[in-house]
Amino acid sequence: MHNESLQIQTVLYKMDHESLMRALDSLANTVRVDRECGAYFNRVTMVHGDASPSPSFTKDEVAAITAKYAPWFEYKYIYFNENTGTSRGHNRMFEECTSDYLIVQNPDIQYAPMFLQRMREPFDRTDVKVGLTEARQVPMEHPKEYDENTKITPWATGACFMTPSHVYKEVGGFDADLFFMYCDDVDLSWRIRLAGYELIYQPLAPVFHPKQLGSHGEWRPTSAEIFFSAEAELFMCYKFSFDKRLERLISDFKKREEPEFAKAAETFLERTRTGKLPPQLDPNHEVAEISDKGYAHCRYGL
Amino acid sequence: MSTTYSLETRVENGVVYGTFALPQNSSAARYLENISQNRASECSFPEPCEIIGTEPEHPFITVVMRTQGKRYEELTDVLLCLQAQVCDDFEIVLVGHKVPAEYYDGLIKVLKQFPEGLLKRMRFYKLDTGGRAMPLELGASVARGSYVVFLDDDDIVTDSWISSFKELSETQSGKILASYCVTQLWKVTKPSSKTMHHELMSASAYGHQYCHDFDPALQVGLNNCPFMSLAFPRYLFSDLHMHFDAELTTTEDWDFLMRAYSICGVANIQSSTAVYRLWDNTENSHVLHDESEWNRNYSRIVDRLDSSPFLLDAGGVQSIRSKSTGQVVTKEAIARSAVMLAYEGEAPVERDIRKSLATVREGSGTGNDAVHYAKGMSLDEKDWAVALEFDGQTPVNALAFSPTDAAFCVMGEFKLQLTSADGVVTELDYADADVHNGSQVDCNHIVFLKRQPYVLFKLPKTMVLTGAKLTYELFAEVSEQYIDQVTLSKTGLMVGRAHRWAVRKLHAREE
Repeated sequence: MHNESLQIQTVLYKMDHESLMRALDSLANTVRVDRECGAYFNRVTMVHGDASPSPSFTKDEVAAITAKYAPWFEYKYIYFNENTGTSRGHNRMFEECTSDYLIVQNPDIQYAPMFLQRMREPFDRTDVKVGLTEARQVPMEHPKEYDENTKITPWATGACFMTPSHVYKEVGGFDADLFFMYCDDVDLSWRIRLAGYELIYQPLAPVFHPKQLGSHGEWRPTSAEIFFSAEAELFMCYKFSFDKRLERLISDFKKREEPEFAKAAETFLERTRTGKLPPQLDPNHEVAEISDKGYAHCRYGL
Repeated sequence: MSTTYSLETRVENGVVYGTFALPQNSSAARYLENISQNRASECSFPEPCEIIGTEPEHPFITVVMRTQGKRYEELTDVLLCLQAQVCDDFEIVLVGHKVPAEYYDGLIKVLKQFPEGLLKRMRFYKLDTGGRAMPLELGASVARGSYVVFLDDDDIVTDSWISSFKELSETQSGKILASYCVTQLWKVTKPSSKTMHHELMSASAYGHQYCHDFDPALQVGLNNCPFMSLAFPRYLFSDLHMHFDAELTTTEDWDFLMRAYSICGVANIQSSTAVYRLWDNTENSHVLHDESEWNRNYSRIVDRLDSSPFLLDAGGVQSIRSKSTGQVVTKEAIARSAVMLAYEGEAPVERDIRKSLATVREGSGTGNDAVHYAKGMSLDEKDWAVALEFDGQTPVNALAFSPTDAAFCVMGEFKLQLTSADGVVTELDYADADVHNGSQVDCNHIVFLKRQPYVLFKLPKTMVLTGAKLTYELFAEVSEQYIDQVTLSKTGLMVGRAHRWAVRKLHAREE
């Protein structure tokens, strides 16, 4: 028995109830298995932060969910009444967090039974100072590189990771002023590394992250996804001191036919003009790595 | 003398349905006689134990899984996928087949850790006798679903795997339902902690060789349908008493599929709902079975298929016609048919690439303003290089390269050098080949077994190009080692030896 506490939090945006309930079922199960295996966590809290245009749950529904899962975890529902994006939503939920550990994840994540133990175990390692553990996604594993022996990875996806609450607090959580929905996880990862911690990929902790594949397994982004992705790329280049690349990207984006890229460039330049950019970090690129291939070396292209 | 097959006599829309007397040696009589010779199973199977779920009473589909209980992590992955299904109208028949005693308790523990919602629809059977087909027979015999699908304990499926089958069954009930399936190389790595569990790591982008409709002509010579991508109507087992061939030690799935296809046909789901994991460094059937065994099994399957008439579903004739125009493959012929296309808009999907390649090869252009067949293309047949010139004005997002129109080749060691209008040179290599329709066999080579092979490079950004040069290696023959890698990577699914046998026959005929 470790008698530790855990808060799991996720931001909702127009999610269907069925997928949320399946996710909560799997959480209840992994809490059960954790208890049967000796229990790392004696108190688990699940927080839904709802950024949808209207509440996803009525009061009665919240009460029913709370009662249903009471044997396994405490359920909290917060309606933001605005589209906070993921970063700001997570930071808000963390404000009231009193738990030892924090899990940040997508709302439709489902866990394998041993998930909690497998995610928590690496924090007991003595060979490295672990600041975060990242789950392995099924059916589509993220291809970014990690060290097969040490499991150290350059950044962790926000689909599902665990971090000690003091680490999240120490680095100031997500940068909600800069990132709305993309690259907030890369930014957080690199700031955790700059603070002296390592990020550990945990292949033994699979989680199901639903992905709809096309006829050939391809993924097609929406217009909003293209815009926020392009905007985030500019912010990342700026924040982590890739000045030449930033300059080139802005120039390229202005020429692109897709309006999302020009809009992203303009958004960035507007922030520059109005002084709404944070101080730059990692001038010597001790942790940051940005290239045409992404934010780290990948084992293969998606 | 004649064999009489009675059908219900009735009149519908002016058509008389009656009793037919078929001559004994007619194909139709032999076809029906072959089916009628099926016998109900006389095997006695064990009762379920450990986990005895009872729901749902009449599921749409029964998922039959066989496991030897040695791969806890792989099993966890696939059960997690079942736990996540958006359609819960299924039951699971899990057969622990010859599970070693030292693994049994661990296996049951892994299973019982899954949520009650999954366990209540699962029945576990401990089976200690029989060959590879026996657990499949058991599963089919106790299935309650209208359909039966067979899933290995190392497969991965998306959360719409079941719902896609169900959706198609609403219009194509009675047929075999076939979905697309991507492939992916995986390997086992060492654990970092005190746990004894091994770890799993994906090692390649998705391969797309199984992302196509069922093709009877292709399927006769080579199995192109991973087992988990096929849902069989249960009447094949319960009413027609079809069985897996217990004598086959490999490829029993291919044998069963071909016999079943001839009875009920196939309907296709044109989306990928499964990931077929090709293991890079673990035990597979290639290691477990020797060549003579594969040859013996292949001969048995072909002999059996040839022993009675084989019925093609609608579209089957066209499929065979399209495959009957073979060509002699030479290096020069291959090089001459190389094609490179530049795409202005977003990267195309396979059917668009194939359409573009086909129209270019027929000399009619691409018929699409957003696709450019590069002007000034020069081909170096000795060094396997192709160079293209662009107008320096057209924005390009993707390049598709097809080294040949022929099947059975290996392409690798390629480097793509792009020169943009402002003189910047960008180099792309194997890792940037986002999409192809072959099989990745190592970090540098792709094997193509089908005609119209292609590799698609999605450029890192939109580029205005003046030129592009691709250097590559091409081998007009596929080595046995690569064929094995492509076809034998998974226990019992593919027929690598069969393929090699067919290629040798083909070469012998050409000589």
